[in-house]
Amino acid sequence: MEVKTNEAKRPAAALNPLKFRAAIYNNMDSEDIGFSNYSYWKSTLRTFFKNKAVVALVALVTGMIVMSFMYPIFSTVDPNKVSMLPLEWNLRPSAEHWFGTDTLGRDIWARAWYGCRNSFLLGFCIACSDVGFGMIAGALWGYNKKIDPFMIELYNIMTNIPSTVYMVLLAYIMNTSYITLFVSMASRGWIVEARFFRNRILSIRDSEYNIASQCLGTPMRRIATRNIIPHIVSLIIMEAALCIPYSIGSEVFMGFVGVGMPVDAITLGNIVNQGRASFTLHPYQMLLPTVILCTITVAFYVIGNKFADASDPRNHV
Amino acid sequence: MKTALNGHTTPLILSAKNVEVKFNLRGKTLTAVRGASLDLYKGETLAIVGESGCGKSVFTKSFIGMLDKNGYISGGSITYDGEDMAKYTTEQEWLKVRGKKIAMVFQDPMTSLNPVRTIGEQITEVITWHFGTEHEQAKREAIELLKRVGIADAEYRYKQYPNEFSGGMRQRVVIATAIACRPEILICDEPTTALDVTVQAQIIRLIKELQKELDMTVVYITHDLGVVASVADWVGVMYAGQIIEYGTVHEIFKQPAHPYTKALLMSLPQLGVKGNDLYSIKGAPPNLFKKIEGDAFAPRNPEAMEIDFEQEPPRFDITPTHWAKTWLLHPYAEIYRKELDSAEHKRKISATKPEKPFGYKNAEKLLQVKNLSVNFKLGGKEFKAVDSVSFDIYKGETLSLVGESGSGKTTIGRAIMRIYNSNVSGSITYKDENIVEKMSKNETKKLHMEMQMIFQDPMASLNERAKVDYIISEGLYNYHLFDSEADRMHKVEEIMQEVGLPKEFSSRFPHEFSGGQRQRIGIARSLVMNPEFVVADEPISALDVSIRAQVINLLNKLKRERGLTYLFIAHDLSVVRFISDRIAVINKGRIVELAECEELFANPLHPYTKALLSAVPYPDPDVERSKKLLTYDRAMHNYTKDKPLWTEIKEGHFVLANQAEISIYRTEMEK
Amino acid sequence: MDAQQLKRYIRLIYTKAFRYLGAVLVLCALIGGIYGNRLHFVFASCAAGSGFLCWGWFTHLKRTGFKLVGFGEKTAEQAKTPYIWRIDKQKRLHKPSFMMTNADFDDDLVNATACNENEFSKENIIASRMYARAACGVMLIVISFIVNI
Repeated sequence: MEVKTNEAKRPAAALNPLKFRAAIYNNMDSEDIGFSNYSYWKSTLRTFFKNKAVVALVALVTGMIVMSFMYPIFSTVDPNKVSMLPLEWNLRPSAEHWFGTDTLGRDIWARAWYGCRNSFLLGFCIACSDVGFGMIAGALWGYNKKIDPFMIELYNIMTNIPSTVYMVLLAYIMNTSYITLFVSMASRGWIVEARFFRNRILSIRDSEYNIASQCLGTPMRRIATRNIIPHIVSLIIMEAALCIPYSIGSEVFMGFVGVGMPVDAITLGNIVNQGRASFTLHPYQMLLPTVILCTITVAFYVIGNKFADASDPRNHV
Repeated sequence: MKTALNGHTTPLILSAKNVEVKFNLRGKTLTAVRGASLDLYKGETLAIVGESGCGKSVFTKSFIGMLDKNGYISGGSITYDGEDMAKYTTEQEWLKVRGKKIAMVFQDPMTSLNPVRTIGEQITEVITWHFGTEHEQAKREAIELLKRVGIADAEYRYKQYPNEFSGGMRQRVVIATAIACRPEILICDEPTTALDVTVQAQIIRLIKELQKELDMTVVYITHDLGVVASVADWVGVMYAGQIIEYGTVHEIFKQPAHPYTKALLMSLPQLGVKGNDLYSIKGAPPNLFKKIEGDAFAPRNPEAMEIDFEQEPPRFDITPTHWAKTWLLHPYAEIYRKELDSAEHKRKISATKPEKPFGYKNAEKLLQVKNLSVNFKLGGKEFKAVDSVSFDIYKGETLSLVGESGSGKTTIGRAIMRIYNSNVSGSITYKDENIVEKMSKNETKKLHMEMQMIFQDPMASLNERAKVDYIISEGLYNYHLFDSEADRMHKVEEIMQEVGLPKEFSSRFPHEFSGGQRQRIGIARSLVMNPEFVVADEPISALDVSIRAQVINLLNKLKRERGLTYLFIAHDLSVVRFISDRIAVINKGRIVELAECEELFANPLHPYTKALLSAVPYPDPDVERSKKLLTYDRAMHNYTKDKPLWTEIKEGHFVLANQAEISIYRTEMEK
Repeated sequence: MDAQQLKRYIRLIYTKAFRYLGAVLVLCALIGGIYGNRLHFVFASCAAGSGFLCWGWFTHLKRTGFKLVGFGEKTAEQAKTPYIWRIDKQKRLHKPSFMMTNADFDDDLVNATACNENEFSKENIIASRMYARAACGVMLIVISFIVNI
């Protein structure tokens, strides 16, 4: 038979019989379960920045965004300046042209940053439209049960067509322009965002704390600012962050297959495409735009994912 | 032999020794299980009782390697089949045991079911995975299993998705999936907590039958002592990551030794005397981040000894089958123990008489509900959640609305609170004013000031992104019910004091509180409006046993001090008996019986009321085992010609019945 | 099949057809892009369209009993851990919601938007493949007519 002593953690020291009497009871001790000083955003950011790679990537991306917006302001190099002298075409990297010049003698370093800026702008626009439209449609959808059948049908029709179909078809049927690109990329994403936000808003709307607010007579404005928006801000950030590399990648893909932007527009897609044309002779022309593209895509993807994890309270460990 | 001495007659199959489980949480290490030991013998039923956060689920999850990803076994051993499972590191090793030898049924069936696959496929998947059976054969076996766990029309149900099933049916499916591999040990982690009482009784019966058929060892993890009394042979009580008392079910219920076990049993509302405060355990379970010194229960135990704060008690054997970890059993504590016993004896004798029943003779009607119906649209079909319900609420009484989930009880509460703007018909009159119709801003304001609601789930009813300060003063902000910022702060502090929370807590976020504390914050939020009438929507059903008593006492205190009137919505008749003056039983949107509390328990008439009463688990193993379970089926009424009417069969006792039934009930009452 | 199921069946075909179409269009666009010529895109899509019509036809033949050697033989399925015994039930990386498919959502719309092969019989699934391939072929040929050179 097992004996009692093997259970006790400490060796049975000499016990003091005087200790076997009533102790003083303290109510505060029983009530306090430990002040953990938890705050949602603090924990989210802490979890997010705990990973060193994330810190590096965030720094890198911030640097690139700043660079791509500052360079066009401070630089004097005209990215569209075509040289008439064949001597200045396809130059190798040098002190004057850090990454060389392309087939028309344009400076690749300058063009890359201009392209980067334009691609970022496009990405931001698409992220805003996708997430913005999606959120508005999702809020309407969540608050109106009546439009359910219509939205479900629309959702079914739209999402069962892959996004590449929209992009390629629209690009081939309409003429290449900023608008075409924007329409073909923004036409599909919003509906999935709408369902995503609908679910969130629906669960917030039906949650007990929101019903409690209704019982207390809280006006709609305060319900939106206090009950709904604080709960979806992190989602908006995350969705937008993940939209950007996707849009930039799509633009490059469209450029690559020759249905992207007009040739005179400076975007990463066009630069990569031109680099590809002269790839066999001057492979270095493709280097910089490709590196920038890869960095943006990978960095945003990782950041978005890590943020998604960090914003989930279950991962606040 | 060891087995004979311990009172077990069957061979030992699993032995967990000094298991320690740790979690990494927010940069700290939390010890969820602090050296718990447990032996499982073949074919036996063991129940592990404890509050949420005591580590009971974590402890058993460590037997099948299903700890959350930040948790790990940091010490001790779990011997099963000659292998120490605590040493397992890879998923492959665990998969030899998990599901095949040791299976688990979780509290929420949806965590076990894949929402996007049909339930049949999920069972078939388990069968082919374990036995390597051909798909068609496995499918036939799965249908057999579904039939076995009591799912009618199994061939058709096979092709349905989990969300097409009710909660009880889902749990049956999970049980079928869990037993598909014929496991040796079945661990049921609060299998019925989320279910209705009648369904709960059926599920427990099903598990009992399956246990006999398959000769399984069943481990129940539960906080419900009634369930324990009805199923267990052996009981282990767990507190703060340790098993603190272990014994046969009779020993635990009749001669509890540990102060925590005693307190747990005393705080049950079934054993309370109406009108008196219920015995309540103070405070909240300990936070496991803190290092625990001595007996973990000591800070909450007003009768703790000094040694309890200093040294951890060892295990003391009381009988060969019963042991407990408390210093009270030490020879040195004998005098003190006798003192406590005599004090306890005195308390029992002096427990005052029950209060007088509520006087309905001169009572004034506060709220009248007439022919209230609420319709909902679901998937294009309209259905009646509430079907022409009528009742009155008198000023100062507590009317309880008892029914199962989906019976429409919450809907009635919310209809009274005007949450649904459309699809409500009938009339609700509050102080001679019909509140179903559109109301002016002033009238709405007046209503919000006088009627408030308390919610069920303390985890969901507080806005996680707001501080307690804002949550409590939300109502004050809405109608600007304060003169200055200082006045508002003062009001918040006052109300926090009233619900028993230190005022320093107002700058914290809801995350930092335990369930009971959060529920008190929710109560404070509605009371700050100074209401007269409160709809309490299952305010205690999501709380732990030890916390329930606190909240019940608080609600009763507020009723006495502020003269509140409650509409108390509940699914548990045992709690309702302790706090209500009248009880209305609701089934499928219709109130079937309404009577004063004691009258209803003495003379239940409607078959549904009887079924509900018989299904409530009672925390006494003798009562529980000799109980007969009654079932209710709507088809037992013949309402085709003879329509049921809402009839007052005796003064104050209403029942929904047709002419034929009324005469049967009359003769029944005369007996 | 009842009306609801028929609707879901049509949705299944529709989804499959567009999945094929999406993949083929990317290929065609790449061909068009590499040659730098819209004409090549039109040619490629027309050829792919004809190919898909043929594939659809062969699927039909196979369904009715005609066998081609080594055509569409299945490999045995790997035994996966059943869902109930997985530890991390949502193991996949987080997807940005615009890339989420119906299976990634866990809401009340799952049924209304479901596109699940499990609920149909094997014959129906093979038939759905045939229809999807043929439909994809027709669409590609139509596209080759619409696109201006």
